[in-house]
Amino acid sequence: MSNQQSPSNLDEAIDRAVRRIVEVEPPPGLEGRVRARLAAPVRRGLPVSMGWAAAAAMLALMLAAGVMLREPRDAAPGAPAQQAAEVDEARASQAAPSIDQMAALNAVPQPAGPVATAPPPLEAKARKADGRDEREMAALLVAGPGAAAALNLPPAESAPSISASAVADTVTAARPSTTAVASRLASRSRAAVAATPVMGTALDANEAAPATALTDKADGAAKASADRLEISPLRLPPLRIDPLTIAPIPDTDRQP
Amino acid sequence: MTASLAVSPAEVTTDLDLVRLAQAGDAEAFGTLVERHRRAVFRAALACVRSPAEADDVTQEAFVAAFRKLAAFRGDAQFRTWLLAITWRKAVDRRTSIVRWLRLTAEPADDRADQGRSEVDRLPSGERSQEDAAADAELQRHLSRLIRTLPRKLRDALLLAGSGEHTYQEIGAMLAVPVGTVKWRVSEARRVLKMKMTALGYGHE
Repeated sequence: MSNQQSPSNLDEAIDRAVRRIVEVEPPPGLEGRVRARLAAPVRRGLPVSMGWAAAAAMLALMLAAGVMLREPRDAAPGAPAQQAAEVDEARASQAAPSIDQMAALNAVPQPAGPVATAPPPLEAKARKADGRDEREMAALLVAGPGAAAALNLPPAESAPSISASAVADTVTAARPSTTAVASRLASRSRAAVAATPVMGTALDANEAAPATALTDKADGAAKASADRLEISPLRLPPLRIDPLTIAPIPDTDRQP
Repeated sequence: MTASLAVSPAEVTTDLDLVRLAQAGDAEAFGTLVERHRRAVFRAALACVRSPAEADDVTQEAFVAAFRKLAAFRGDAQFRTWLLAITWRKAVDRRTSIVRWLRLTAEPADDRADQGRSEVDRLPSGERSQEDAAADAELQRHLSRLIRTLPRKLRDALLLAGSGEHTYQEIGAMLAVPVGTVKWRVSEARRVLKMKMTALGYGHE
């Protein structure tokens, strides 16, 4: 057996192949079948385009159903191990704050209110898993610093504090060529920290008087805050520092 | 040309006369038209859908549709061209039908490949040696597969032209392209087939 064929033989082979496909005699009795169809009632089927449209609609429906069935599983609370992992991750980020976070915590002259001492959003997420700090922050928000004392919450000195020298060291390490700028930042930070009342020590004893009422109020607020933790008012806009003057840039875009 | 209703359809020679008779309600005249064009209609459908059973179904649909639209036929074009255009639209509808697609998807390809072949084709010819018959069968199998894989436009033109039932004008009317385009498509289809066959080792002296 050989594959050797001349081009003319190929032409003939193509002709034969084509004829073999199409040179088929129609089955006999066509006229009778056509007459039978003409006599039969008109059968209306779906047009071709409608068939494809129906198939596309079915496919889209199945995809939508798949997405809807999958969403609740994604939104469901995670396993305890997953929650623990989230807390660990948040604590790790808390243990090693960025330069911006350190500057936000220490370099800015903070007002006496509790809002300025609020943790960043990631820290608030970690505290949600703890539960105890959630109450503290809610009490501070709703009833002022006195409520925290009324709840017998530990003072904030136990929270990890970041010194101004640490900020200077970090900045120096990050930008060794600008040590002069870093030392200026450190001196300003020291002054700012000295002028800032630390949470807990700034509590006024007079504000702790209506302790019982404040406790109930704080509990309610803690629940409400837990429900809307994701939009917690504790979020602060990122602090921007002018590198030349080492002064915070006022946030003119901030919404009231 | 005006057809006389008193004339028997058997005596009428032109399609237009038969159409006039059929429009006047003469069922026998329409039967004559069916008998006259059934092969061309069937092969046009077969070139499109590739299955004799489906081609027969399409042929019936085309004649039924032609009968129902016969009152609208004005005679501007030839009846045969008009009928073939209806047939081609029906066949393309069938080819793109989702029901057909689903059925062909579920059906094994080997069954489809042998569907259009008669038992006589599968037997080796008595005049040839068994070796030649086997080589020819292999060549034809390759060609059938390559024709199936041709682009649809080239394949349609090639099969319609190769059926021996349709002129280039009729093919152009069916495919809604000029005659020159039909000729180019047929030539291009043959060129592609020969190139692929050469790549398979055929076509060398």
